[in-house]
Amino acid sequence: MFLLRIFRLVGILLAVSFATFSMVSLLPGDTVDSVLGANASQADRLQARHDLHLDQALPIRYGHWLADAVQGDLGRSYRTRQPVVEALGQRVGVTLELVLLSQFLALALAVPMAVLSAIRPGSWFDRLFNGAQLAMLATPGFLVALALFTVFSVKLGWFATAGFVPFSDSPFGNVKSLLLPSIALALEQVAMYSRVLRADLITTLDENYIWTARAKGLTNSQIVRRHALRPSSLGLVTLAGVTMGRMIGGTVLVEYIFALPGLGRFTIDAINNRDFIALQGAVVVLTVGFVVVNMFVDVLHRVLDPRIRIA
Amino acid sequence: MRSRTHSFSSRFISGVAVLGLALSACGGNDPNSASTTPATQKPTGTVDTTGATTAPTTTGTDAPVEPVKGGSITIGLDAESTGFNPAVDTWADSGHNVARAIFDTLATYAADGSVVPYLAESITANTDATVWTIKVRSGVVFHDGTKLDAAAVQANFQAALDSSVFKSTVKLVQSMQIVDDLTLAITMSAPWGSFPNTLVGGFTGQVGYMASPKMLADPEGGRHPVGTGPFVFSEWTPDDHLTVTRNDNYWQHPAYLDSVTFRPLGDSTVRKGAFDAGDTQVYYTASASEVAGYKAAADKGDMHVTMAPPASPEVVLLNTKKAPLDDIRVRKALALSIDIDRVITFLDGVGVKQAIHGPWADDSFWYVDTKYPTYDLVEAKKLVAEYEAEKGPISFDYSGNQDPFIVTYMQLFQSMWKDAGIDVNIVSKAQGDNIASVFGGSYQVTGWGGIGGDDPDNDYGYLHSGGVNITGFTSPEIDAAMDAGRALSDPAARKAEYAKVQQILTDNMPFLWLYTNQFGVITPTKVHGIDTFVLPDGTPGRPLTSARFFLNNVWVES
Repeated sequence: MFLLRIFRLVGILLAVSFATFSMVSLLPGDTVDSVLGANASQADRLQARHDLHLDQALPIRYGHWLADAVQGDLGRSYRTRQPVVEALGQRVGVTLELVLLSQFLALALAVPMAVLSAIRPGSWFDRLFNGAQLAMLATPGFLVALALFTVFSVKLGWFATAGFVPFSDSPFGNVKSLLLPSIALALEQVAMYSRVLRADLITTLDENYIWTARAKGLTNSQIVRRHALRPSSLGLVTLAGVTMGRMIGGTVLVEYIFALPGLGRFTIDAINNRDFIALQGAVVVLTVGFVVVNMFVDVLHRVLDPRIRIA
Repeated sequence: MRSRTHSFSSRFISGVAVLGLALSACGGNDPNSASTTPATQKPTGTVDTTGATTAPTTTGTDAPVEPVKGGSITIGLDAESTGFNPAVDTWADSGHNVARAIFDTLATYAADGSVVPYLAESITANTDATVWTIKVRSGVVFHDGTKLDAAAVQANFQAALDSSVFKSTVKLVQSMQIVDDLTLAITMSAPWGSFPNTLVGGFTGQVGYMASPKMLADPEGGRHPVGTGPFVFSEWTPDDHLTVTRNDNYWQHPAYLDSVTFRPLGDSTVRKGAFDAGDTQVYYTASASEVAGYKAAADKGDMHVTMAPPASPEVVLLNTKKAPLDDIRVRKALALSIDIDRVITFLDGVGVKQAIHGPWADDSFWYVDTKYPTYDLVEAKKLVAEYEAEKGPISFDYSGNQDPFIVTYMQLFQSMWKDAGIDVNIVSKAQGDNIASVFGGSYQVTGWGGIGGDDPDNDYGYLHSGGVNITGFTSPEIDAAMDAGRALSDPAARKAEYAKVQQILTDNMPFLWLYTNQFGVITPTKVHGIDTFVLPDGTPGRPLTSARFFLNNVWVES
């Protein structure tokens, strides 16, 4: 089973990396412009095209890249000449931390909101949460990021306006440097997670076994904790897994606004500069991340609901 | 071509890959000891090429306070650089600001805009400016311990000659010969009177920055730059920060700051926010409202605002090979129907952008009044009617990039030209495609930056028929004047030649001249010295060019 998943991962990686290669070659503009500037002579442009293998057919270029990639060499950025593996190594940690912290914050806010709403549907706090969630869904992440930046960093000065502090330098500084971007990234997820979990919980709380539990005199808190939350969280877990991909996309703007040296910013810079060797590397990392998260979600499903395991 | 990722023109299309001081044999560069440093005469043959002539102005400067050593500052940059090899990487103003901390240039600008030797002790020419002799200062070493000598200078020129990006800048260099340990003779393939202009690390390129030969030979060198400058490269995490520390063995008076951290903050709101919050200590902007706000703060003693001389002209390119732009009446009608005040107001540029009437700003040494047309809609309509009666309606494609703001800017021009009866079709493309269409000659009308503004010889490639010729307009008279201006050394004689060029351009209008940008550099009151640049002989140099500054004399109050 595990081997099958690995094979699938390899298949996905091949498909996605080839698709990226093809799509980048369709983008308007020229990599050579980014490398040499627009003033370079035709002879230099041809030479650069040759040096970068851009004069070769797409499948051949892809083959070259793949042969190196399987040996752990993702090439060098056309633009900065930095080894892509090294560049990714500098950035993956930032984005991973940002996404994980965002997920933690989103779940930490969404689960209590959903539980409180589901226990008393239609109550004043259910309506309040509902309104707040609609506002969160309707507000674009970049706007939240700019608002947080303006209020808490510029006006109040509670957080630094820019830059990333590695955990090794200062654990507190590390969390502080990521807190605002994480909140900006998390708010939209809070609304989605909370609404999905609330709906599932309300359905579960109407199940016969829950009524049995109530008849036995269990409190709402005990019922949710012991009997309702776990079977109701399958939808939430699936959504959280799928959302990881969306969040990685969302990091582009948030990393830009908070000047974080992460993978999202790296990817968008690579696209803007037609630096498709760097882009290939970023896509590989993102694809692996996405597939691994979804594998993890599958495993979690089995833990949460034994029926899936048996099936 | 200028790389100016921060500027409007670069957002537009600008051809961006999108891109001051004197001499003394051993004088210190301590601004406090300026009066005691013996001045040294300029070497014979040094070209005195006057460029922008307006000196920077500073508001909010406090009473003189004694500089103190120590402290650190953080500077928010508007763009990240691809690397710091002067022969490989093309820099925007942001990259030049880092480079000026790590490297020194062979020449630089004096306060009056003239070019004077800096890391070089002298830069002299033979009578017809075909052989230039560069003698560097003795006792200067790169941060890696390598000695600065003639061989090192030769290695830097060779790197430029080998560079696909920069070899066009030095294409007249025919051969180099080491005369003695400190002296390099460079033979040109043709007279080149303005050669020292290419050595200031200004708009003309990066050839003047002297990098360690070891660094140049290292393919990774651009990521670990080694120069002779006031600060030593310490570390760089791309997109996050680059840190330099003071060079205590600097060949001049060492800098005051212990270290400087540069942070790329691409979003202008974020960059300004970081400065306002006190997280960065230097901010530069060409926004009129921002400059006005900071000047008001400076008047109350809360800020220092230093205004750079006007620079960075913006133009509209007209492809004279394509109808209807092949007709001078159409080109003139386009010029007459541009209300430049409206454009500057639209760009929030009142007070920091000045209308130009030729390739060089009205207050430039090089400017001559050629009666370039100003806004006159009645006259424009007359020309349009005349053309249309003869050849039919006027319409053309006006291309620019896809940035929504740029599209709005182009719509402003569209409406002004519409007022004159000209139909304009806006075409938005990727920047790379726009550049390709300009160099491929397939465009009709587009915006551009990087022409004019500095020494006229820098525009040789744009204006001479042997250059890139992006408007399709050539003139034997311009060719002759550009060749003559290049060969001459006397500024007045050169100006006479470039006056001819300006008149021919006005008469034929392949370019529509719009405006220059003027940057303000802002620092908190506790940060001093951004408005100061002292030449090795103790005389004042030009501290600001566009948004480029020096950190040699910057210090912070404890």
